[in-house]
Amino acid sequence: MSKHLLHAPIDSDLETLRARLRAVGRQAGLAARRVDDLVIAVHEAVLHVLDKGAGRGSVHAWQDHHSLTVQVIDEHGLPPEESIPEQPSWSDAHSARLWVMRQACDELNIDLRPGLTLVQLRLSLIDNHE
Amino acid sequence: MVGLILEARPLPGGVLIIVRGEVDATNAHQLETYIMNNCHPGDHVLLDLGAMPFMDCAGLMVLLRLHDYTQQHGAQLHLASVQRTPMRLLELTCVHWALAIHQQVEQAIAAVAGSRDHLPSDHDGPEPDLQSGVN
Repeated sequence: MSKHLLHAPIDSDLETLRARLRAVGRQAGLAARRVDDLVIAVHEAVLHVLDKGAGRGSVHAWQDHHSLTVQVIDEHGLPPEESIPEQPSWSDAHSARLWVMRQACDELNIDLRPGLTLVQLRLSLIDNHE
Repeated sequence: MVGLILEARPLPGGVLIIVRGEVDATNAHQLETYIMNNCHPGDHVLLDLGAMPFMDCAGLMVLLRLHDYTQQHGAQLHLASVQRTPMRLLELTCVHWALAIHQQVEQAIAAVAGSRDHLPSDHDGPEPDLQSGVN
């Protein structure tokens, strides 16, 4: 049984979205360090939508017994060659962003569909100590 | 754009930049431009980040470019009072190993004064004053 925690449109008010994500992380029971990870990772995913995607989309979050999951929906879609880099590239903002997203969460999936991209980030609620 | 308040104060051999507000892709260029406009080649740059609760990858890349710039000119970038979320980003990316990070601004100022003894700058100014420029 999952519990829905957030549904927010993506717009340019990133500061408000970060505050809402912080509240979601606390509500889900994440430790402070993992709340930071959540905010860092989802912020970068949303920036990707604003920067490289359609600039339109939404953020959804829910939790079950084991995980907090956040889905960032881009109504445009990442180009097919976009993949999660194994090493950071600090000369390429988009590559660095994807790499940081991967570092900050336990699982990152990018699901490319016609006209739509789902970026799904999962943070464990089990191994969740400081 | 997220509101950002920046202030520069001269230090012997460098400059102290006080950053107030969240730094992200919408304003990172403002931070970089302000810093570059307020330091000279060879200046140590000390960033007081005690009032910066968030920084994203764009802000991190500003720090990395600034780190390279100061090193290329025989100086160093110092960070002080880094808050929890920006510190987490530095840790996730392992960048914290490469930067001089101090718990308190006073410690960072002392470190700059110490490195000034070893790395003389062409722009050593008078003792710090409290006159500041606010952006």
